[in-house]
Amino acid sequence: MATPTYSKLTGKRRSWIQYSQLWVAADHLLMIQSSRFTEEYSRYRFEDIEAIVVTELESEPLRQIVFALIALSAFVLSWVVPDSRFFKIFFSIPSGALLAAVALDVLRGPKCRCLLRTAVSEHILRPVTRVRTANRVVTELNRLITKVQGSLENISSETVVGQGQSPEPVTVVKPSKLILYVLLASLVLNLILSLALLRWDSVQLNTITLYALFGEIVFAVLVYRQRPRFGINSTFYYTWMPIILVFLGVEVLLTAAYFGYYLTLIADGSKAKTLLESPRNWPYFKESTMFSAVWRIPAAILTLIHVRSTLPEED
Amino acid sequence: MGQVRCAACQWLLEISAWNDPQGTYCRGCGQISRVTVFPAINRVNQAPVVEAVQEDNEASCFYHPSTRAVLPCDECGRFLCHTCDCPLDGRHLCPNCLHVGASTKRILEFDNHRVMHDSIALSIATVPFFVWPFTLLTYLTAPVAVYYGLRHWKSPLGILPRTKTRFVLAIVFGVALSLAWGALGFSLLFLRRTQ
Repeated sequence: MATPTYSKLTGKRRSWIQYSQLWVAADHLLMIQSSRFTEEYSRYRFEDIEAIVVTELESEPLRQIVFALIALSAFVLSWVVPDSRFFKIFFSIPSGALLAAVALDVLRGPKCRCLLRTAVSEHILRPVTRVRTANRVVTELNRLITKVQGSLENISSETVVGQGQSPEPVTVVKPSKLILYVLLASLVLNLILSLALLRWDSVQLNTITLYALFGEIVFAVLVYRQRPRFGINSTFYYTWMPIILVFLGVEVLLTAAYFGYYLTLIADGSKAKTLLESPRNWPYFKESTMFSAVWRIPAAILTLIHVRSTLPEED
Repeated sequence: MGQVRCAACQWLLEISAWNDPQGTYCRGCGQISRVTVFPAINRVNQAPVVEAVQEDNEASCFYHPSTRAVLPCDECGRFLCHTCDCPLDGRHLCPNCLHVGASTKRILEFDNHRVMHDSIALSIATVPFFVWPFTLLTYLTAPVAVYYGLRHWKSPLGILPRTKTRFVLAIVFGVALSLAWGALGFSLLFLRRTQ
């Protein structure tokens, strides 16, 4: 049988290592879900489509403002704090990208979820996540489906079974994203604190960084404990989250090395107080602080991408 | 007639919300839902009446000899009754032809999974090269990428149009890496001999 000619209906909706996209042929809608190495196809014949429902999702202006402020402060700090030009550029690239991502999110408009119903099934159209895209898709599909089915006229309420006696809505249990946001905020906070430690010599700052580090470890463990079963959204938990935990473990070892050095100075009876007052006296201070700052940039970006790109699970 | 539910909370949406361009507030989640309904929602599927064979000269179903045939299978020509008729994309198939078509993927509607061999070949060729310490394993992965690319050169890719660029890149990169490793090995061997 000849392969039908497809034309693109939506752009690629990308997730971690996956994407989904809608295409239309003369008589059906095609949804592709690709994991780069395999592609899954779902076909919906125009004559079988009964309804398309587009529901706007709750807007989150507070979250957008918080993200914008974090991005802006990180961008400003990345230019103010480091001494060398190289590190100015190095740190401003991820913070600039974060700023651009927040701006893009605002510009793309409100979010939505799109449901396609046939006589035997209901499917979420994953590539349709914005109201603007949904309006365009529904208009195009409406034209194509009406060509096949004709237009709907004279729906009388007497013929509709079950209207007015709506059952309780199905409770959809979603894993909370709050702890992910907390982890993200913690990563960004520690990144900023590490940069600040490089710039300013302060024992208070050092103490705050230490507490923030332990808080971060707790949040990372909590996030890891909430990992879902293997599915479309689990890549983050089974690939990047263990790496983040390993890096946190390395930082704990570095902190232990710092205090170990402090204890040896006490044993020697020399300079112990000076080290506690100024952590810069530790021989590996600069390297370990740079390490703290550098690994948190990709970790924060990965967490942000995961939070922002989590796909709705198939109902 | 079917029922339409909110895409976010699954609450049953009222009929007055259907095809309303302004949309309606879902009573389940309070969000605005826009419902576009098509005539298929009114479709009532009735089971076809199966008739028994009345006379000896009437054609009977291949699978149900006591039932009157209504049409032949478009693939194999066997007579079929209403029960055995499987309409698909304007054609009428018998259950056997449908099963064979699905298992051999001759029927396009059942072709719902494809392996992207070109992306796999390109990943085998390039990913180890860029990820230390797997770079040291490229003396193994480069020939594997070349073999994989050539082995699946004619394998079907996705159902959408796709060029063989990834295959070409994988093979070229694999060959180049293999040659580089070969040259390195040869020069080491040559140096040892000359010393």
